[in-house]
Amino acid sequence: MNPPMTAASTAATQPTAPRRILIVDDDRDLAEMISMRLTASGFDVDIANDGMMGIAKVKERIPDLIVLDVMMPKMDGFEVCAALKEKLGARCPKIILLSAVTAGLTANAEQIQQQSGADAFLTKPYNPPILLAKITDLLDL
Amino acid sequence: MVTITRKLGVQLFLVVTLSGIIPTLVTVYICLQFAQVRPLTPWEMIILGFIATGLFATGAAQAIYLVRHINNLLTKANAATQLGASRSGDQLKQLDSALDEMTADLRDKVRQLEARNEQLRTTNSQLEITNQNFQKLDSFKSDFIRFASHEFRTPLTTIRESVSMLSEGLAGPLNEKQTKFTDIAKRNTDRLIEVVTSLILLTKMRTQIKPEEQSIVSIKGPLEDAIKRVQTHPNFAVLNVTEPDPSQLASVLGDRNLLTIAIQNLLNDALTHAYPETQATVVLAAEGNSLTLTVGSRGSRIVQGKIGKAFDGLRREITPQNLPSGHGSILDLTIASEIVKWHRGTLEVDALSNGETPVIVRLPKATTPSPVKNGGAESASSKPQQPQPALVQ
Repeated sequence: MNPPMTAASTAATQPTAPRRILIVDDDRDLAEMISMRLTASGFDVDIANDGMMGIAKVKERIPDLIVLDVMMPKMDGFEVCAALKEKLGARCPKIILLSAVTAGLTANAEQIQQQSGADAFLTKPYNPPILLAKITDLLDL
Repeated sequence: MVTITRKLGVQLFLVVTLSGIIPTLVTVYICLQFAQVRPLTPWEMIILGFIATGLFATGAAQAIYLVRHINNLLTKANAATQLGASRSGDQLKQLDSALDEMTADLRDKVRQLEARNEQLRTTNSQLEITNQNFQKLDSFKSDFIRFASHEFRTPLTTIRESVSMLSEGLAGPLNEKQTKFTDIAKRNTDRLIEVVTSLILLTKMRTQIKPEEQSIVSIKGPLEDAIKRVQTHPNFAVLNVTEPDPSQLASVLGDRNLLTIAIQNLLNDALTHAYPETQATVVLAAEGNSLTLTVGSRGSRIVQGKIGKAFDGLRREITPQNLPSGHGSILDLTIASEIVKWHRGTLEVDALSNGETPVIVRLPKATTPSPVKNGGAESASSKPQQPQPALVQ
């Protein structure tokens, strides 16, 4: 389904200075997979396995971008997004929401993105090149 | 009755008095006056006696006649009264009997109504229980969709990502056999993801009550998107899209994403089952109030004897040889059919003599003019005139 990662696309996303990305997902395996993918693309990656931990990590050090799962225990992705936007305001990092669940018949990414205040929305199973393209775009790389 | 008798008695007394006694007394008085003047002769006394007796007799006869006449009248009146009383009694009896029957009927009907009321109460309570069960079922379906969405898609995403990274060599170089295995794993993971995604979409379409926000969509947008999505299909080269005349590019009221999925599914199906060295064709046309999209290919896609069942749920696919799996799912046509119905359209299969079984989709045109933005959806605020399509259950 997804075209394989090519050397060209990897090179295109290779940042000049390592940018820090925080992955917030309660699915440890998937978080690890995304982390490996992004690390291979030259990013400095950290993982938080729930929303509270994610907010705590952001407080410690604000990342350049957050890949945020929607369905999580304790705090879901929308709540984490709203809390970060409220606390950090303009200093809030770029946020990509990642969800396996869509309320409607199809995922209306634009609508979900607007409602949540996130900068992008992707559905699982995500397409790695599209995820990397979004990150590159949002970080102006 | 009593009042009449008294009146008659008084009248009788007066008549007898006036017509018999009074003339007699007057005669006697006259005789006595004569007797004071001179003594009456015997003949005069006899004559006066006859006169007095005659007068008395006449008055008495008149009185007797009157009494008889009155008696007759009273008898007749009494008979008439008795007859009237008798008639009223019959009527009263009939009335009483009718009232009894009516009362009995009413009691019977009240009993029936009470019984029906009881039945209604029972039915109502059963309906309430059924309704609660339906609500539970509905909740269960929603939970299932959420569960299936999350619990299937997330691990599948992880598996696919692992396999993808392995095949990309991120964990080290792979030999030829290892690459072959990872390719098979990747393709089948993709296939599984497509089936799960299709099942979730189908379940949503069949259970979701509220239609989503509609917009006027130029058919060109979903058609182009769908063609882009099938570009990775191994048979993509045989796809022949007849460039539609601009006048044929009508708009429909609907959901662009869903329309894209429907067309993509039809294209996938046509490409997957196209015989070698044949073409898969797409023709778009506007006919009256409908928009017609015909997707056809010569192949094993729909067995002619089973055309009527082409869109019935899980169709058993005839997997073409030499074609890798992972392009479309067995639910492709069913989902396309549901989406078309959801848009108040029709979808049918034609059986041509050359063995081709083109799928013909007819969608109602949007009634308002459609200013096309970016070849696709216009803002929903355009307030389309067409009624909201209902979900197909």
